[in-house]
Amino acid sequence: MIKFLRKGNKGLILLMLAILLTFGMLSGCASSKAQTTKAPTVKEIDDKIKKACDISNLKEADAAKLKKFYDIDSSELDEFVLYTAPSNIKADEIAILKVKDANNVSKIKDKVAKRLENQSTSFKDYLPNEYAIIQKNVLKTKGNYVLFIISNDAAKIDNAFEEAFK
Amino acid sequence: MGKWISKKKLGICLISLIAVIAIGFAAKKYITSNVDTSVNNSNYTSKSSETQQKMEPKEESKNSNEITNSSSKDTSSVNLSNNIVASNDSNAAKAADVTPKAAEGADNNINQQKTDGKSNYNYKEFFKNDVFLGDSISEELSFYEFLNDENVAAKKGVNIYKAKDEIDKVVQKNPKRIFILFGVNDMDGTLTSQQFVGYYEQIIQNVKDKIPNCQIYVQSIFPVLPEVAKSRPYLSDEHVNEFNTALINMAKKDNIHYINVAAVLNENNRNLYEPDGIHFKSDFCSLWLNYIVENINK
Repeated sequence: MIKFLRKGNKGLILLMLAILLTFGMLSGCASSKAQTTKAPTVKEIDDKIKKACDISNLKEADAAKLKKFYDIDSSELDEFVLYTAPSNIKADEIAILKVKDANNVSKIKDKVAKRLENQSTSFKDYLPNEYAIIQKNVLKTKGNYVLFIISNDAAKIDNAFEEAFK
Repeated sequence: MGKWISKKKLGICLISLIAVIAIGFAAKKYITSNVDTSVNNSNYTSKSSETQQKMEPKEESKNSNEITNSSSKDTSSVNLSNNIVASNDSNAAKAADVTPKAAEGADNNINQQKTDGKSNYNYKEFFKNDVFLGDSISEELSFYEFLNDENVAAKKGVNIYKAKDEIDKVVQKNPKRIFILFGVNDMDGTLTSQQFVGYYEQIIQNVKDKIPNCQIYVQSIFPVLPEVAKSRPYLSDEHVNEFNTALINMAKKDNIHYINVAAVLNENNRNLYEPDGIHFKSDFCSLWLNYIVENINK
């Protein structure tokens, strides 16, 4: 072995090292491809949620409603999806917001908290069944994402949200 | 043997090594940029604006279908509350008279809609200087966007006691007309119709004092579905009629308008109620507002 090295087969050795290096880099690329699902699109999260539970009775809302109910401009978001209840006597709501600027996440979450407070006040004394659902709400952030759920299926939806990041 | 590895050959090996490393980096960049492109291709934000565009024409067609679906042609089977009101009180003749005219007006409107295909009245425009004061039923008018938020002062759970807290909000808007609807949150056995009217008159007086030029319209209380009345007897047609009669008398005495919006409901459009049998689906709102538009000057 030592004789092999000493005999000056350095070129061959260098070539073998280079090949090894290349394989190493390419396999590194392969694993980094899998890592991109850690930042799912809002659509991917939405699809996961729809697979996990039936939200067909909710109405999909647009940027105008986002502004009206939450005082949030869609320009502050990369993407969003908003579902609201079909009538004013129901409290169900789902908001998935991907905030553009990480520094803005806390401010956006506060606006959602304000919406939660308004809805709580609105339903509290008048529709106790709906108020009970509001009390079991989920409001949280994950990186640039803000998640808000008022639903009997809040736990399932939250779970689906988390699954989208795996 | 050692001389086999000449400087020239070593140089070639080094160059090959560098070339292989360079190819490796290039390959890495190519693969990761492909993945990025597929992730960013999602057009989710544009989807939301598409939804908005889809909603607008849908809403218009919903409104235009509204009158054709309502069966206002049969005035003899108009809701029970209207008939009882007419028989109990001669002063209610004025209210009862309104109904046949409403049916006529509605029939003409049906013809209009069928021929010119236009949707119902532009409610936001018609009521732009007015305010609807009420509870969760009136709240539907802005929730379903038939009226702008500034024209509706209504919240869930507001009853005739709590209504006085809403007056200042209404006064600030300085409306030309105010349409009041309370009752369903008050008919729970805690108030007689006279006590209800007593509180109602306080609201009316408050409005008259603060905005004297405002035209006040008291709306009749909508009946609830029979199934609901069974479990909540204070919401029976009989009780609703008693309260409405008291409102008619109050309106006459206080020289304000009474508008019998409850006339739009009958056995044939019970599908317009929400499952709770008290609130209404969005389609009902145009029926309601149409009635006001067509009867307000009668």
